[in-house]
Amino acid sequence: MKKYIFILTVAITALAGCKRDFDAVNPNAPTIASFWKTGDDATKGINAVYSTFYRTASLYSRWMFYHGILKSDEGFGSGGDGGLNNLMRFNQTNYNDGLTAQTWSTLYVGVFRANQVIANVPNIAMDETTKKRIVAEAKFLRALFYFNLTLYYGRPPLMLAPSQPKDVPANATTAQAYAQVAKDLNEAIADLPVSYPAADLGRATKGAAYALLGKTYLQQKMYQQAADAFAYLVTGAGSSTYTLTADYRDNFIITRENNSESIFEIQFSENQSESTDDDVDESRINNTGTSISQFFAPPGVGFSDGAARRWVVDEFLQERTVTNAQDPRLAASFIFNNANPAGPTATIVYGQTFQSRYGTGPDANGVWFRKLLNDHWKNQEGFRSPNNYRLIRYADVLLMYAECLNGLNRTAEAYPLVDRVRQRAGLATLTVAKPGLNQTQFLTQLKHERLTELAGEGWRWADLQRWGDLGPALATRDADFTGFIVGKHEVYPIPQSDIDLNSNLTQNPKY
Amino acid sequence: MKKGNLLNLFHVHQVGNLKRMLALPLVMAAMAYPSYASITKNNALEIKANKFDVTITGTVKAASGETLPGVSVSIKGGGRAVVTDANGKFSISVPENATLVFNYIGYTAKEVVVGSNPVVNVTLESSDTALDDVVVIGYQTIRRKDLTGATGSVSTGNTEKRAYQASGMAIQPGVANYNGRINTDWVDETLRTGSVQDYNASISGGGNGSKYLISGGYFKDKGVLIAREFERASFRVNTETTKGRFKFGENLAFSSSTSKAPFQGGAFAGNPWYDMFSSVPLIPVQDNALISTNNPGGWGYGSNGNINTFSRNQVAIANITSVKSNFAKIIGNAFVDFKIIEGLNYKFNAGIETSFDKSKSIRKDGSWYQNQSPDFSQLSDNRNQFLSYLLEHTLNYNYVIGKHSINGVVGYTEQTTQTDNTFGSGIKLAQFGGEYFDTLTSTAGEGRTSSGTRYKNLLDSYLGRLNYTYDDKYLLTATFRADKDSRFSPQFRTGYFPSGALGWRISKEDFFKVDWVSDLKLRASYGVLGVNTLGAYQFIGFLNQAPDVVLGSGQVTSPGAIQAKLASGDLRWEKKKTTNLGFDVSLFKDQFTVNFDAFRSVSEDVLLSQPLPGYLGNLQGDPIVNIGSIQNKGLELNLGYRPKLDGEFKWDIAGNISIVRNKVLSLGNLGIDTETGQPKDYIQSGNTRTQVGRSIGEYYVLKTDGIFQNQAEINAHKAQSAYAKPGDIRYVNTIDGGTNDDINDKDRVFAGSAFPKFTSGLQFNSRYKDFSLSIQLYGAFGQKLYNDVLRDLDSYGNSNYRRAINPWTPSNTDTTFPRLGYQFAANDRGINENARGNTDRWIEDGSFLRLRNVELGYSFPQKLISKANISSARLYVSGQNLFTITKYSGLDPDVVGANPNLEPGVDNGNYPSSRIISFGLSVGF
Repeated sequence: MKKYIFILTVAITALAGCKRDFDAVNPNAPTIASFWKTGDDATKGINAVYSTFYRTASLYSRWMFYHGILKSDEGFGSGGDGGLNNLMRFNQTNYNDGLTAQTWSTLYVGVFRANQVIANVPNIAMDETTKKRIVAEAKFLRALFYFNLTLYYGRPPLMLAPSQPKDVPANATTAQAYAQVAKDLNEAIADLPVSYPAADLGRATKGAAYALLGKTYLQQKMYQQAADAFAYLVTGAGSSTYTLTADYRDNFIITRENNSESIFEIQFSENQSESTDDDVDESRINNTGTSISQFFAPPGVGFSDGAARRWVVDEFLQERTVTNAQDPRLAASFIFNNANPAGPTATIVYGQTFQSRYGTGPDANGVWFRKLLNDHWKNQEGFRSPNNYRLIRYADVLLMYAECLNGLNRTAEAYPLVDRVRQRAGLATLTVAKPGLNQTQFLTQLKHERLTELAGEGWRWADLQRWGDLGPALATRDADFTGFIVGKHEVYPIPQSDIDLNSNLTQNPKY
Repeated sequence: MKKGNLLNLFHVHQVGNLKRMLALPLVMAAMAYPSYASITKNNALEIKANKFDVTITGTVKAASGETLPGVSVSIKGGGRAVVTDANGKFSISVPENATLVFNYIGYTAKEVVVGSNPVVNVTLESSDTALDDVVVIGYQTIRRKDLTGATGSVSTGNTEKRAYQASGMAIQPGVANYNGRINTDWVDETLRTGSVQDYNASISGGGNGSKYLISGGYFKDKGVLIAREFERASFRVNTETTKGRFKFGENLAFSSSTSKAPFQGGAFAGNPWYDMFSSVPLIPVQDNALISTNNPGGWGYGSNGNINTFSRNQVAIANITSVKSNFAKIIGNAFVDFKIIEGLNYKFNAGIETSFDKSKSIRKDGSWYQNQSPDFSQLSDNRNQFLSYLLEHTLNYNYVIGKHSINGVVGYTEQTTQTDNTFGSGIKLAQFGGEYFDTLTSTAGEGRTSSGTRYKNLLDSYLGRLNYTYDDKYLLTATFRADKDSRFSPQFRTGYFPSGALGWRISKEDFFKVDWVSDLKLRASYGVLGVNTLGAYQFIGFLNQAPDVVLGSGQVTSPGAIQAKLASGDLRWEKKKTTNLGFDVSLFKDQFTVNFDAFRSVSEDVLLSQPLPGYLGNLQGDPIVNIGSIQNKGLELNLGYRPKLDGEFKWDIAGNISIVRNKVLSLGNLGIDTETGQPKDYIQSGNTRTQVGRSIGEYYVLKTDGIFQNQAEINAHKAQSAYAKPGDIRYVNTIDGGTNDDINDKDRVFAGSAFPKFTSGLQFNSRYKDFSLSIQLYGAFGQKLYNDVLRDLDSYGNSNYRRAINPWTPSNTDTTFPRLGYQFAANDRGINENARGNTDRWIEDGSFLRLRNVELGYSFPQKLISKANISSARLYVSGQNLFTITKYSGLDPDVVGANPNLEPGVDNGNYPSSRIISFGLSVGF
């Protein structure tokens, strides 16, 4: 009997003696409470905000170019993606459609990340200059995300602190949203450096913040504020940092990335061994390239989900260079039968003549956007294009500044800015070609200049929206605009699922 | 030597050769591994056992009424196992919808599907007389003849299958270059006749205070979908020895399973139950002319400008991809029971469950759909070890003083559950002579990844139970549990769960003198149950270290880190409070039995994945939060008739009906609804809305109102006049406000619930001489299903269209089917509107009545077989799911929803039940 009790006692004490730690930490990842302690944490945090650019197809890895290029009158959905084609022709019945709803939510992924940096980094004990710079970078990126949200969705709710599951914000007005963008940029400008060491190229600079600030004001036609911002880059301290490259094409090829014309550039690299475009999949390798080239490349090379309208080509043909040549920007911008003026037998498309690829077939008159492609260094495309996207370049700034000055009725001062852009392309200066334009005429001319300089770079939609040109009248250029309803299709619908989950949100007009 | 009970069971199931008429393996596997689909989808094993825990309690009794201690209660297909205590009681945490298996020496094993009722009381039949099993589904209990357990409570339906049959009648816009020679039957290419084999053998015996049981089994299931297979071998040893005041015992079970399947899920690999119907017959499965760099296998799929479809070639997927998984599992427990004094026992039980799971996914070179990213061949190797151990100390007491009987238990238990995972992947598999190497080392170095995780959680519990009966007339049970679980937020870890039950056996009262009532008992109970469906570490946000950025002139990748998934900081126990009133009556010498129950259960602080709006920027799934409370009320009636017959013909019949009403009582603070100014009271998930005062996940969609027959009707309706043409669907313009406003999401209305109005079952058993016949029917009525497969097919998109459509034309106006047109045609928005997903066009009546099982058996006469030293031999043939009466046009009205919590009736390619013909032989020696 005693033996039994002894055995039982041993058994009980042995097993009751085990320490049971109910507060053991997750061994797989630090909690958010244990992060944000060092300068290294701050750097990792801001890096993760940039990482949003590569996430899924919904931002600069693909769809942002659909929103900015294909939806406008210069392009259209030309491939087998019926949902895309319908969206590009303003036919959307599902407000949770991935093309609009995922771009929305991914932009907010970026906002959430930027908010974490802005909320947490100021409390870190670290080098003060770096700390301020990192917070300023986060504000720049938050501004960029909200700029896109406002441009494409009109009335985004403003999330300015790290998200909590029960946050139920109301819509901001467009003016409120742009005001927040401007506020962030103004704050960022103070702490962003003019430039970075080579290893940090790609981070937001003071010039980038000024340029985006100018864009933000210009989009609201706040010409004076916009001009003040652009002045930094054109006449102010930033003017020594940026110049137009000698060769227009340098802005679209992989060997001239981060050049003197680049103001903000999304850095892409080709990672052949990537296995995911979900940048939070910790067990896989992230795709840091863009797949837009695969989707914009012409048939036989890529999917050709988007293509350009022919009228844009004609726009270039209105004018020849001072040496009586075809505007070099045309062939830099598009692949089409006469990219080489000698015609389809002389035009080379990914290593073959246009004639041999498309001959007299259904694609003989096709026009494809070239700037985001890789035909300058290889004969196929893929999902991992390393060709950086020059989000804002100096020529854009010069033309925007000109638009501001013209808007302020300082048209004469605007001429030299346009001249610089035209001269680089080999055209006669506007001062020579079209002197003495009045304010209205000059704006009309600027529309032509922006189209020819910036075709297929993603700004056409913003331009049309700002100029008030969006409407069914554009159907003569782009039949997709037949379905355009004024007062509705200037912006996308806010995802219905967000409205269903937050009754403080309301849908955009007429949706 | 005590009489040994030697038993050998031998079953062979031959699945019907009716092509396309079954689907067992994945259903099986779905039971064994609650998320089989996610195994293949994520190429990763997930141990689900700790994800959807519900605590089930109950009592196991023998048919004679005595409680059975020491019965093994385990989760089918794995997970933990417990044994019943001295009073036949058990308590086990199980995943939702798990199947419990009850095993006891000398008794026929029994399986019970766990429904929403947390109490499962089971009666085991002595193995030589076993006839009926009890299957509990939800609140409804039906009796059925058990076949092997393998086919469990699988339900099926095929009657409407033909509605989907692909055919050469495709109307395919954009099809240019066809000569009509190809006519691929994709359904035929994707399905095959499956088969199931199931063998079991066991031996048991004992003597001198010891008993033992050894059993082994083999199960193989070849799926109805191509390239799917499941196989399991199992082995079990149970022993028990009594020596003096001690009783020792152990139960040990080992099983090894393998499964093979291609990739499945997502936009990448798709769902065969969509693709087999939407694939265009004009595309060949495979053709040498299609061979290209990205398509070395020459697989057929869509291409722009030719046949513009994005349907995936599931035959190609089956050839190019594979996931092979192996699960080796050991479940065991050992106990010692010590009698301290008469009526007071101490028992120590140690249980362990461990499994070693590996899964290897291989993707060879090749493509299977239009616009697929041309990826390298790749391989991933995923290893999991699951370990759960349980230490239980219990004191049992049992006193009888005169007419007073008191017994009960107090105890303390500790449970630890841990999952370790290691994952590696690589790309560019080495090839030699066309054969792929399949190890990580054989892949190219530059694309290798590795990762590993560990999840661990603890559960400590104090428990106590008191049973008191007086004169077998008055019965009282009181129980109490205190559970502390590490998965909740620190301040909310401990939960207290009391319950009590009263019984009054009126028939024992002296004043009760009604001879035709043999037994009458009234019951009442109230209890609180703790529910935990969480995984480890979900109460706090974590850092994700995967994001990175490309920087610098060298385009170098620099690491980032950020919180990606939101977390609720105050996760606590979900509490389910159940009140039950009922009575049991036996009449006319137990020939008639009636059981009636009325219950109301309220789940408070329900743990649900909360769908989050996009503006929160949340990634990696919706966080789990405690949301509001949900009520279930119901009535359940069981009737049985077993006439006492003297002749050779014996029969009995039992039926039941169950009515359960589900209602959301509150949903916590969801802000203010700007439209009404009132607090917001709903959660939207897909096309369903869970709203206070209604049942969970009611459909919330646009209402259709027939077809526009002419332009005048369109003009009169106004809202769709900008684009509609005769033949288009007319939607109800719910919110109009007198203006000509368009049809949009504001016009949505509630359109039915996925919950049946009632369910019912019927079981008939009969025996004549050596023959037996049993029939089982099951029906569910009044539920609505959303047929997403049909929506995909009838949207006139880039897919095959089905044969049965009856589109509107000016000369065919008497139809509910809109005019034909291509969904993506330019400037025909009417077609696009007809294809809307958020409308009641896709909602169908899901009522069904199913002949779940018919079995005809023959037992060989004793004198014939005894010469061969065989004690029993029985031959049977059975048919499962031989017919289903339903109006539902999908494959199977018995749908498990896309999101079972919030969208319970959405059929998005549900794996259908199969029609199974079985032949079996069981022999006892």
